[in-house]
Amino acid sequence: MSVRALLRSRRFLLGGLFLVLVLAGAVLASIIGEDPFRPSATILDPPSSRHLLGTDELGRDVLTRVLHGAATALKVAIPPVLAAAILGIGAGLSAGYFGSLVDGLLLKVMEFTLVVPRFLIALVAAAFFGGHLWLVGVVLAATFWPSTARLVRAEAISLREREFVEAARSLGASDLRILARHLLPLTLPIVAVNTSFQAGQAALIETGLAFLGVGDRNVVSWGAMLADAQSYLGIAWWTSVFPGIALGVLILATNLLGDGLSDSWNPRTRRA
Amino acid sequence: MPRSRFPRVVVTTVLLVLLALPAASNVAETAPAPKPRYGGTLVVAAGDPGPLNPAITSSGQAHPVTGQMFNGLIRLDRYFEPKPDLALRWSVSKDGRTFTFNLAPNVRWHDGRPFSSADVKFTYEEVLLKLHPRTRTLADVIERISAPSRNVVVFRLKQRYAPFLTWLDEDNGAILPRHLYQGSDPLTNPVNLRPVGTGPFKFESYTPGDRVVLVRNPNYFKQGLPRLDRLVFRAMQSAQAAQAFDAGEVDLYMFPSGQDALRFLNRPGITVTERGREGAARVVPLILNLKRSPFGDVRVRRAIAYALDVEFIARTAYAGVLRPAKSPLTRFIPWAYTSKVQQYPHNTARSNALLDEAGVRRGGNGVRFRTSLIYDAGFSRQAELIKTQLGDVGIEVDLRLMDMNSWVRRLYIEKDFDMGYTNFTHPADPDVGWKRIYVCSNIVQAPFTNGSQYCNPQVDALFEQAARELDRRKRGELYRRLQRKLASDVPVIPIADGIGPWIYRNSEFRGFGNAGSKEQFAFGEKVWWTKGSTSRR
Amino acid sequence: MPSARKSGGRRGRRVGASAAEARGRGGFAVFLVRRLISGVALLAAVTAATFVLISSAPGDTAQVLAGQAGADEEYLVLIRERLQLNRPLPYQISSYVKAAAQGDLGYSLVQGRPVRDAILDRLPASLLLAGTALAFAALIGVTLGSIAGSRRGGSVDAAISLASLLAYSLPVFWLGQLLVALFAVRLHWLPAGGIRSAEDPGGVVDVLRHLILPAGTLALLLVPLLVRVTRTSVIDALGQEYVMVARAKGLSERQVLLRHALPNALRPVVTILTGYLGLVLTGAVLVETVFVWPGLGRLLYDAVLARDTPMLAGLLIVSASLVVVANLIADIIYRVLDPRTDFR
Repeated sequence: MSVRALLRSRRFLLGGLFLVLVLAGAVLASIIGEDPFRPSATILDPPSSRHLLGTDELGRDVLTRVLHGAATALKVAIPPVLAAAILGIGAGLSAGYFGSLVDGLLLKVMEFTLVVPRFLIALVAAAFFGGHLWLVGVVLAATFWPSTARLVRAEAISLREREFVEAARSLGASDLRILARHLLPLTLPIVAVNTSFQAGQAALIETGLAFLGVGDRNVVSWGAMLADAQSYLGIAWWTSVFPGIALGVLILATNLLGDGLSDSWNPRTRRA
Repeated sequence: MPRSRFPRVVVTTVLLVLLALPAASNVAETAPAPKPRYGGTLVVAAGDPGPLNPAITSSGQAHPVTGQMFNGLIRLDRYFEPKPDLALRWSVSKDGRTFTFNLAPNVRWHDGRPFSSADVKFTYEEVLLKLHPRTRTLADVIERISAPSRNVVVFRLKQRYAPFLTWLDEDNGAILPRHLYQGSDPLTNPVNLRPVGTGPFKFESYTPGDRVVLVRNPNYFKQGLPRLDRLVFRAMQSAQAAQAFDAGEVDLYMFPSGQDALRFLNRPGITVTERGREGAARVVPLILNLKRSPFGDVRVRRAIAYALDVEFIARTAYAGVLRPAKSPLTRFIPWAYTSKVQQYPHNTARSNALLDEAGVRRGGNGVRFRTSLIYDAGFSRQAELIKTQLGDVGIEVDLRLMDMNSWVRRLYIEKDFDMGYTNFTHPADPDVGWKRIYVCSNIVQAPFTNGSQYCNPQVDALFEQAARELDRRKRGELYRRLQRKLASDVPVIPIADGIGPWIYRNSEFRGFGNAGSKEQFAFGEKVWWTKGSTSRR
Repeated sequence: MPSARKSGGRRGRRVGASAAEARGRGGFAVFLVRRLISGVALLAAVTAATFVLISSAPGDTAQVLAGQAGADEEYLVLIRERLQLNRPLPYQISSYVKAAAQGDLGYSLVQGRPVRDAILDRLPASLLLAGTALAFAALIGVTLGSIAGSRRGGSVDAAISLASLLAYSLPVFWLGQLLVALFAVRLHWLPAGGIRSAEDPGGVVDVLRHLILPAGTLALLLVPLLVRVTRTSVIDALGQEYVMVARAKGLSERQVLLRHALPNALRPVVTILTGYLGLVLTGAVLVETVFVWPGLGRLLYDAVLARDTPMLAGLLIVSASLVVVANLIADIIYRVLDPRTDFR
């Protein structure tokens, strides 16, 4: 799990760069302070010195909106998957290490959540309870942790019979200590990879919901921007291209990061 | 080698000749062909119509479809004057209270059964006057309906009522077949899913959420009509509709946004027009729920009016296709319209002052109160602008997008809303479309009635008077008084005034602009396809 | 001799597959039956959970089930009775599940017809779209993956991987719009949407034309992972002993690839394909919306907008059923591909 291996991975570096770009955008959004909802009379203006990325059909600055969209996407992409990672590690370790009942229970829960596609659940939840960002985040966390747990469980199962675990046990280490000090660090690589990919999926789900019009209408979302821009593809390409590219960059970033982490840290999945 | 060149020369020449042919025939075809042709399919992009019974709904999504299958007693021309439809002639008694209609003979229902005055009497008594959102208010006006013979129907009114005839078109007075509806509940009768009417087109199929297909009625009572063979209505969201129209898959785009209208405005072969849609003239209102605090306070309502910049909304969200409203009534009813009423030019200072005065003060975070706005997809831009503008005076608006049917349920049936935004037409006569927004008796659980629950006996009395008055000038005066009162009370806030165009491909279809002010409900009758055959086979 | 047991390469195998005690026909049948039973139990659980979701939504359950329509009192009474809403929650759940098991998924007031009818109406179009997308994806993905794998490290390999990565990063709804704008509006080569031409509803050819863009867009979602997995498998397989033997015997690279490496590489592909059902159902909602395809995805979307509760519940249950069935089919396919597969 060396940092050096990571830094040697071109994918990781590229992905990291893209992610930093998006993060920077999100931070810029709050610093700049321009209101992304502020309409103006110059509608559908092409990119110019006043509006670097042009304006949309209500005269709003596309650049500001793209930056705010970055903030929204990251809010939904990062916290929920981190929460899912924590939950997944806890559940997966318990199941894999302790086995029997705990394992059985976990397996049932995992099967259950894997049966209905995540996006559909999010869509229906948005329909019933409103598409608020926090709600989408909760749904995502709740549907992401099982897949992480599954991977961690597999690791835990294969690791629990290893010599160093035996050794630790014979030295009198408690289960908790073994889990936390010995097993947990070994699961981190695989969790990191999985979490990266999940972040991308989370962003896609949020923008997908916004595209369909069931997202949070009170924040700026790339998905909503793309939906609005559909009618103007012929006459105002900038209203569609820039949010699309921005979203693509974020997804690309998470995928590259995941690939890079996987290449460097995970010998079994290393690209041959 | 000369030998192998010969075939090539031949081939090239043949190709050149073949290529030239279409060009040659094009020259012949571009000569104008004014005579209507027969045949063809017209594809329309519209919303999903819902249940296809025109007598129980005034929905602007249902009537473009039902209007091709049903008739009313009359049809309104461009100037809202009644012209014959199922009724060939009519006469009014001296006292203005008895209307006698002579119905067209030999009219048949789509299932072959003959039409008669009994159908008219039944439809009015059992369906329209009980269930139609607008026409039910007519129940107070009509004393008796009688059908003395097969082709004669007589309406006796309780008192004089000037706008009576304007009610009797397909929009508000579609006639249903008695033999299929008698004894049933019109709301749940399965015939609603396979409608039977007298109109130029017969029902073929309806796939909810996808399409409605109508076919020509070969026994339509108006000779030589209709000219098209089929009508296909496709339900789609406006973004997809615009693309489909542009790609040539849709021939008529019924409800384009202002931006879509601009997109197609100067394209050859495409007509963007308001002709035929005069019946859709309206003032688009922001409906406030007066039963929810603080909307009951008129100062708050006025403050909201001041906070909104309707000029800006009209210019951007409506792309200038609708104008900012200067009165609660649309300017397309000129004999009654006036703009000399209380205006609310955009003025945030005034708005803030009024809100403070009404005791709705800002909290620590600058927010006075939170509220919500329900709207359907066609009004996203307007909704976002309203949110921003009200946010400027400390009113935080939560935007709630929903489809038309849900919007109608929330606002009119359950009355579970704070603010609502949608179209509200004032067709033909203020008594027909406008009154229903404001009178106490129309606070009911039915679509497109008095959603704000405003109730003012003075206003009711004025409406009453205007309905009874036969002299148009005096009526106009009364409606002007009403506009002044309603502009001052603002139970609904007038935003934009206009018609809004529809868009069709004139290189393929002609014959629009011939079916009166509600042509969007009746175009099927006269529209024809430029590539059809010259005679009916 | 090729190894009969494939120990690795089963990543992505879904959870809960219980091992057959004895291999061979009898063992497989037992296994299948156990999977079937657990599948049914799973569906019951999903149905129950859906019902709980409905009852936890704000508002009176009967009203909510009526889909926020102004349902008349009679209908509400009927619902309350049928679902025994006046009794404690467990009874309510069991009656809903029982009804669902008999195929009664409720009545949609929004559409004015039973939920089951609406779903059955749209199911064929969805299956057509999904099937075609999967076929496209499999074809393109396996082909590209094999090429990349057999020319590992070369520029072709790099190019394919790059294209793959880009394809995976493009949001499917954006791509769809762009394709419509280009191919339908600009070029007029393909239809902008729908399943059949409205003007002139032709037969199979018409539908195929309409299928190209939506299925292609959906396929693009699925291709990248297939490329990668195929590539890895092919690389793995090419390194195996039997391949070296084949090469030594003088077989050409292509013959080695096609006859030896590929068949073994295909197993993980099958895993992926069956696991794709979830992705397909998800992507279908967005693709069907952009291309106005009359399938379950659009039905779901319309139901969401209209808050058509019974329809939403029904669709969730149907999706879950499709996934369970797909998993069962996958098990069978595995068995067919290699009768000695150890179902662990």
